[in-house]
Amino acid sequence: MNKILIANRGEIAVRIIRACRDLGLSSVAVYSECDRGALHVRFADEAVPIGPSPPSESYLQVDAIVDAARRSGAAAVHPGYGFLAENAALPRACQESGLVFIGPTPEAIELMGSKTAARRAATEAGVTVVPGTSDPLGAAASDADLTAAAAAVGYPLLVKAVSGGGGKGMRAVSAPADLPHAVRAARSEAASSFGDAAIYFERRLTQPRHVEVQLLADHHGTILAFVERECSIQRRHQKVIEESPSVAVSPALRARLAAAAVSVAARVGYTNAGTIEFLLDDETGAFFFLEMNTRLQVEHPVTEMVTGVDLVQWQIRIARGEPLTLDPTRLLEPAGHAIECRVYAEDPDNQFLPSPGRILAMRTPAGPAVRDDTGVAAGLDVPMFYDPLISKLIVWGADRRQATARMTRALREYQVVGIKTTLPFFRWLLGRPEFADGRFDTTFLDRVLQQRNGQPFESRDEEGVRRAAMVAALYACRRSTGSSGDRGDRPGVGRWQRQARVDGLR
Amino acid sequence: MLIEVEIDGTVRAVSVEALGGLRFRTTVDGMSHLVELTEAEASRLSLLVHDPSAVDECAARTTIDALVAETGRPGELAIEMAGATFQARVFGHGRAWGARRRVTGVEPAVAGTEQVRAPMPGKIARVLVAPGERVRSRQPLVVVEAMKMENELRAGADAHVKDVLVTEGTLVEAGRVLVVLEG
Repeated sequence: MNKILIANRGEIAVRIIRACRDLGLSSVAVYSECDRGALHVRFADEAVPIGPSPPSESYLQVDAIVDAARRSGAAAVHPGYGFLAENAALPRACQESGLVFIGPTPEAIELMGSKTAARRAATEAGVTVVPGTSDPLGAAASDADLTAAAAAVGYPLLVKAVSGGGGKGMRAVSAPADLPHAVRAARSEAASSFGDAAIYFERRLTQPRHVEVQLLADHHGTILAFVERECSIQRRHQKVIEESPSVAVSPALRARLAAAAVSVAARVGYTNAGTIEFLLDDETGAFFFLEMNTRLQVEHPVTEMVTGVDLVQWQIRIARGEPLTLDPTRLLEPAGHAIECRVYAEDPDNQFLPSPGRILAMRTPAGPAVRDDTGVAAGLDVPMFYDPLISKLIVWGADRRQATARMTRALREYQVVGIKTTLPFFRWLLGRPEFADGRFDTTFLDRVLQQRNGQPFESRDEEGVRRAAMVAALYACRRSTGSSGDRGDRPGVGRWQRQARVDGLR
Repeated sequence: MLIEVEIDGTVRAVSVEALGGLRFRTTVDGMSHLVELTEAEASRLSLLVHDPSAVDECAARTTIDALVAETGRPGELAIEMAGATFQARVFGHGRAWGARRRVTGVEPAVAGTEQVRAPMPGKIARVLVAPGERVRSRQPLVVVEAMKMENELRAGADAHVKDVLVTEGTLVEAGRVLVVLEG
């Protein structure tokens, strides 16, 4: 296996290409029409066009991706996260074409992709699940069935899509009267997002934390668990900030979480990288299996930062048959603390609406213990077709306080113009006392955002506006003093530099 | 050179006086600064700002590290500095870079009484109208001289001159009301 095709785009494709290069392997990118100039295409050794910009016509086309792998001579396919990463059709097609799929078996993906089947597997493995219905409630379920099932679970509850994920097809219900509407909404979202209208009910825990355990499993029977990730800071069920370790997890609890995660993975014969998500009751230390993600996660870097393990390299090594040689005890003893912010092309001051468009200029942060996993660059368009994640900013510190200070500093260094990003929102969030103290649960962010009631995140004072006016005037002044034949509408940078050289010659 | 910059719907007149090389004297809202500029990197302006009243030539300068890019719309710049982003529109004079010039110092529409203010500190070079006079839209009212540049202040719409509060040779601060118009 010396050439790998990456069936993805954006920051995760760049991340995987880097792992390939670190291992001395060549990489093949695939790209849709609007992604010709994208960073992952520039980074890869080879690139294959796979179709028009809408994901359903390119990055979700199993045949196009397998064909691209065959034509480029790649021996393996890495799916990244999202797109086809949890679609068993891709590993099946890979098997049929003699390609190695860098991930679990199609059977494991299918089993854990059904939330009710996954809950059953966890129960069989002796792990407590969040109380809820054990079987899917299909479209044929009667209102009486639904009401009875809901009453058995108890309120407040969550209506969730059996084939769901990422917060889609999920509705909270606090009283029986709201059930029919929530079921209809969840069903229709689930049907359009996942092609499956089946739902189930789950008890809604009051103010739980979301913690999750990263796993690596090889083809020789070894399953290793990593120190937990804390992902409680969520906006509308979407993770916003992740960190490792969790302030709420003691070494003893960590060992129990790890053992539970390993037993679920063992039960389903899991291989490669995966993550078991739990809800944790802060006060009692009780935790409940939530679901398993059968892929690399967005937030994998925080685990890498506190353990020193390159998870993507290990995905590749496992896929080519190598046994895991990591020390299991070290994986549960985090060195320091890591925090990740997911930077989105969204306008936090306008209800987090997507903000696609051209990045006119940007500076990404750097310096001690700062990792910037960016999938964009200055001059590139952030397309409207895909996930708005443009970059993940990860920092490491000897302890949580140092990591927080570094993140605050890195967020200040980070500059983007041309599109709106969630950077101002993160600058605000990192300054909250609840964040500094680690006092939060999965309901925290939505609550404080509601309290803010649209108050802008970007701070602006008269002095700042005056300075901006001064900067604009100086820019215009310099822009105007070039040679007259050069006055065009194109960006003036080149001319500025020429003028600076002219000035230097005087 | 007097440059008008619109940010958040407010137009400010920024006077920029070249002092040779990449040194400038800027005046915004009546506040003057000595500024040294560097253009070492694409899309970036690094400014060192001196307090002009500081006696010590070697006193520490305030730094402004701004990312600046043209948006493609006439005269429009996207600026990020110290965690704040700004959309600025620059109005160009004559052949200068920027959006086409808009009326200086006058709100776009004259409704009721309109105060025409000095956009920057300067000297009244000429007064072109008298009280009671009928003026047309865009008719010059006063010429303010600053940094060796003459800047005409024009009427935003047809109006009557209600009052003229300055005479030729008067030194004015930024924001001072010069002429009052009545719609």
